Amino acid sequence: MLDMSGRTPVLMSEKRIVDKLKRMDSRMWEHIFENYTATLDYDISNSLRKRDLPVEYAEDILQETWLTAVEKIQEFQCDGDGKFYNWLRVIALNHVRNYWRKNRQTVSFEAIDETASPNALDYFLQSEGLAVNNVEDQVFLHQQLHQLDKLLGELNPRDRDIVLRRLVLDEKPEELVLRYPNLKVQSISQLICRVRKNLRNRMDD
Amino acid sequence: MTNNYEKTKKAVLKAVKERAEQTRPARIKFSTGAKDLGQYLQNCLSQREISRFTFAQSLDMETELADAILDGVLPESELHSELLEELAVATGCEFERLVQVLKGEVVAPTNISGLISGV
Repeated sequence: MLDMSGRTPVLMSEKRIVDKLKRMDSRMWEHIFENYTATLDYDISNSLRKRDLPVEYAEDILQETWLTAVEKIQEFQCDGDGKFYNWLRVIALNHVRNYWRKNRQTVSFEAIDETASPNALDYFLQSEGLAVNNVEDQVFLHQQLHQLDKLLGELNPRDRDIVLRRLVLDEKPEELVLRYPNLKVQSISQLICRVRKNLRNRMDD
Repeated sequence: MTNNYEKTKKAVLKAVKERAEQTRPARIKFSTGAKDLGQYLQNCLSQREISRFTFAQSLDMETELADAILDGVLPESELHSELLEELAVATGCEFERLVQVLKGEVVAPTNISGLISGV
């Protein structure tokens, strides 16, 4: 990599550049910022789009990522070229995922707590378009329920039990955490959300 | 965009300056928490025959990010409790155990009895 932080560009290994960053060489930080920001911004925006999040978050995530990098550079071990950008990138992807988690929790709680219907399975089938009154659609419904059954069969026994208790027996996440004390309400909501998403994906296929 | 770019650059360089005033690299001691946790999770996955790809998928996570967690590259400060909860669910480990490993209170076990939660 070219070190442009001095008067004359010098070809320098990434390890030496990282050493300079660790010594808090502000010219090197400036150089590295100018070198990587556009790519990082592109990667962050891409990840936001994949998660259906507003691209406007990119600016905040970019800043958070750089500040984390400054804060944690001493922990970074450079064992080859390209590792520094990879490190920056995974920090950024984790920040995007944090935004996604916050967003999803709001959505999943709304979705699950909306289940004012007497039976959560009815609500689930209704919201996934699986509840039909029309006889002609029953074959299609049968196929979709078969997919749901298959999906449940792929879950590990604990997750399957949780999903069935939640959707069929209508147990609330607060009750389920008593059965599974190492889980939290959020984890249960996330699990239900994951099943919903997988089911939707299969139906789209 | 240019404005935001300059604003971010300024904030970063300010942080570098502040950090430079505090940092004495020779005196900094590093925790091996992130590495230990990564090793522990790798053991969990291999005992359960879960691939890295499946692990990443179950967490709705990019494979690079999953690899960074498993290889202990993601800084420890980024491994917050919500992420640890998700990791516990994905690997079937106890959340509390993961916290202990991260804090360096538990040595990563190599046998399955040390990995599986009581549930």
